Amino acid sequence: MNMLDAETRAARVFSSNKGTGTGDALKLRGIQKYFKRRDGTRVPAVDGIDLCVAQGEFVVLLGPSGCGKTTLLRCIAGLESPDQGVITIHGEEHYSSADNVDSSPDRRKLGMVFQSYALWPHMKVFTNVAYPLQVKKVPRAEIRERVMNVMRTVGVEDLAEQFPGQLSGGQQQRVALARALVSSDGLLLFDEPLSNVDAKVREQLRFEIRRMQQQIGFAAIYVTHDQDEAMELADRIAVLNKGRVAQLDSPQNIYDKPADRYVAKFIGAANEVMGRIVTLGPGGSATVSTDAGPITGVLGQDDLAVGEEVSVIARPEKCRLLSATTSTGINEWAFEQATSLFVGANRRVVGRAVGWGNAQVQFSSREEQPVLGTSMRLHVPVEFARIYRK
Amino acid sequence: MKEAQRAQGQERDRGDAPAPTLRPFVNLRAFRGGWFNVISGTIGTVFAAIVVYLVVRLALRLFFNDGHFDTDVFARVLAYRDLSTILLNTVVIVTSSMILALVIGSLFAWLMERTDARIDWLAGLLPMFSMILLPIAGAIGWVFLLAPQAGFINGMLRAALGWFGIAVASGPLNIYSWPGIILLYTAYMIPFAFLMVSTGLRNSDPSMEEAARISGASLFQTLWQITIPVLRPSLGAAALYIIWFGFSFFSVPVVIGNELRVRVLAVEIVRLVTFTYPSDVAVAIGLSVFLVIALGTAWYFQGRILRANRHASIGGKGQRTATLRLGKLRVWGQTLLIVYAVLTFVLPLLALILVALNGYWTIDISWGELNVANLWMGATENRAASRSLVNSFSLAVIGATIAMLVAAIFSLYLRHAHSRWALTLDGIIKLPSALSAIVIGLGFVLAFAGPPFQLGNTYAILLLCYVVLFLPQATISADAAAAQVDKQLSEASWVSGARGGMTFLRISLPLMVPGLIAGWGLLFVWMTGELNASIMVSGTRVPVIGFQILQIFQTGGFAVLASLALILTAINVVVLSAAHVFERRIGRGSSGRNAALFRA
Repeated sequence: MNMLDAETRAARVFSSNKGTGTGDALKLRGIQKYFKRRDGTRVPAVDGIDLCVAQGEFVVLLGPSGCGKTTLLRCIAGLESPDQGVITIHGEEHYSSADNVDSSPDRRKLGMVFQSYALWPHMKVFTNVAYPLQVKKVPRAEIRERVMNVMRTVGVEDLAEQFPGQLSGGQQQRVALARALVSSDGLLLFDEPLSNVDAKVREQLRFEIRRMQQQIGFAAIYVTHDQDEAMELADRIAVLNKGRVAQLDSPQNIYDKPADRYVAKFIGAANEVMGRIVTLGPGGSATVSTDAGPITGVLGQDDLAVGEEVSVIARPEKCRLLSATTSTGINEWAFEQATSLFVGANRRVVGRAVGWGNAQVQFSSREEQPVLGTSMRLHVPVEFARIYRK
Repeated sequence: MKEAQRAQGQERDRGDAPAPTLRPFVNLRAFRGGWFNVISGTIGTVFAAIVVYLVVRLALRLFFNDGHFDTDVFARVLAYRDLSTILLNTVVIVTSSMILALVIGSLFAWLMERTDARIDWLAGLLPMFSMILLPIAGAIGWVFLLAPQAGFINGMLRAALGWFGIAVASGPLNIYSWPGIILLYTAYMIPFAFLMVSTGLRNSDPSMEEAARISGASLFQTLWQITIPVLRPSLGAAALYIIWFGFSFFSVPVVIGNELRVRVLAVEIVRLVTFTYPSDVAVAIGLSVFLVIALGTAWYFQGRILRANRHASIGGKGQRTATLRLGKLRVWGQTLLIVYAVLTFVLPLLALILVALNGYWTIDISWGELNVANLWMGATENRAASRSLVNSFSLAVIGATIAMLVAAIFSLYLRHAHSRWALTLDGIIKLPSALSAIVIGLGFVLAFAGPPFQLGNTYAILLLCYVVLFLPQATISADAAAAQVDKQLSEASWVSGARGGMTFLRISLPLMVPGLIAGWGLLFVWMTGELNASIMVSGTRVPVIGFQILQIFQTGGFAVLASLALILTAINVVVLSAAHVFERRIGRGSSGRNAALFRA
């Protein structure tokens, strides 16, 4: 797919070329949104979020339920009003608490794919997709051309005369995407759109959304609680915690170098032990005194000091099991194997190690594996024992 | 104060901006709902204001006269002739028929919900009989059947007695009697008990009863110790509705009570406004305070029952339960149900048909000369009757449409706005259903008939009265219809660039249509049958059917009134079945599979 092709396609999909130029598609500054409890106390749902999404960039908002990700998305769409901050879409200010501006969703020129797809059951697929253009009073001929174009891109051109009730989940999802593309100026919002389809279709659609996003070049904000989905789709992931951005980075950095304990524990599996920093070594290394004895690891956060209470986190696939005879002399514990779980491409061994509680070690299946019942030692390489503030 | 602060804040912020941009009005925070939201809110506010205005005018009239505080109204009410008898009569009739209705209605509900005596086609129809056949027509039908001299049934009974050599001049039964009036009240109260208790039974967990039976309790013990306590809130609600209905019920006492010389509150109030010259609205309002007191007491006790019985709502919904086999009793159970249908609907309808066909009411029907053309000739050739028919029909069509549209717009507004203001409006708009139609009618007479509006005896006041009176029921239907439509569907339209009005017309309204049509059908029937308020508001200038039937009855044109009642019944049947069929057909479409039907 060369650049020129992508540009011409984009021009045919969106109503203006705003979305394919340079500059930020979306800019959030200090967004805050409170909910009032029954007793009158204010609970922050979104607590001061800054975020920039470049043209054509795919940003995933990732977090557990209740972290504020959907609220933030609805604030961007205009379906809810924040209490503080500034929202700029394609350089145009659409919300500003200071300027008393809060434009309604119909003026924000966004596309949104809803969790339930929200296709209108009383309209044919064609009308569903054409609706955003019809309400903008685009001439009939142009509507027809653009709608068919988008439907071809999304792969639903054969379904134009069907009603949404007659479509499969995957097809409905594509139609919803087509409608969002038609309505948008190059920024699309996704509200957990894949949570209602089964695993197989989900994987397929995930791939297609990413392919189309790269082909057409729209910017996207995608809300999900599924980390695999986030990893696969995102250019950047914003991990949210209690209404704040805990970390905003590429999927790989989020996985390999979590910014804090919350992100480290939320992404992937983690073995964890609590302790206190005893000494700081060279190159960001440190020794921590824990229930499992002293552990040497690397600092996950720069500003940790001696004596601070910390948590040491090691990913199962970075841990090793050693036979009783070999030894590295550091970060080793007697390991009493309990079970071995077969998880598709991998095998996970669960056992008890002093101080670690239930520790997990993950092997890829073909790798050599320990024999059940043999006495073994758990080893955490220094560079994979990451230290975070408690 | 806040405004000033905000303005200052704006100025400060713009101070460091390069050039203050002129923001379009539509982007301002206050306007984000768009014009449609403004209009919806305004509509809601207008109707709430009408209700508030009615209530305030009524309350003011009680304490003030010509701008001066006086308690003259109360003095005159307390000095009202036979006041204590009237109140006693009302309480005795409502209480005794309420007890009967609760027993019979609950029995029916239990038969239909829990036993194999259930008759499927009757389930939806049973509560409808008393609506389809106008109560005033039903009451007159029973007069035709059981009047001591000319009642058809009495005639047949006398003939039967004659064979045994017993000769009686009149009777043996008499509708103009205490049992007669109480039984007719009961017949019209049974649907309330049936509906409430059926719902209660459907929502309560049948395994509680099954557990009792397995633990060794007899059928009667289970009923007494488990079912009835669990149903207490439903019975309470039924009693509340029955009291609400009974105290302002007008059709039966006006037909039977005059002859029997039993006066009740509702009839007295209407008489003071409509059949007294000059009318005495002030005392009528004073008397209606007793109505409000009765309703308030009922609400109070209902609230206490609900609070004391929170546990009763526990239990899953929709469990299938093994229906209780009644054995030999099954036939008797079904007979009871059928007898109710025959007594409230079939027999009075037959009596009306017979009188209409015959051209006049007599016990000696000349069967050979019955004329089918009389069925509609009676009403169409009588100018007043045909005018009332046209009035009622057009009022109901227009009124039901306006009420349903207003309700649809308002319930969507309520769902989206969630503001305290919207909730307040909702509470006020629903108030007329908590009061009685008589009170609302009085309010209209007082507040709109005279200056400054001068709407007395006009079509407009009736229309407004119907809309305000039935808006609560309309909003209940519309709320249900709106709840069926996923909120994301209208949000998707909004994000797609459609504003409120467009979203309403193209998304919400079409999807709500099935529910709205069902609600429309009910409103239509209620409005054509409305008597309490219209009789006070409309007068003779704009006659409506119920009022016309009553007037013709009092002057003795029985065939005309029978014909009028039959035509209205036919219209009601057609409208309700059409609404039902229509709702079913497109209702299925909206759920997805047969969406193609939407094209029609």
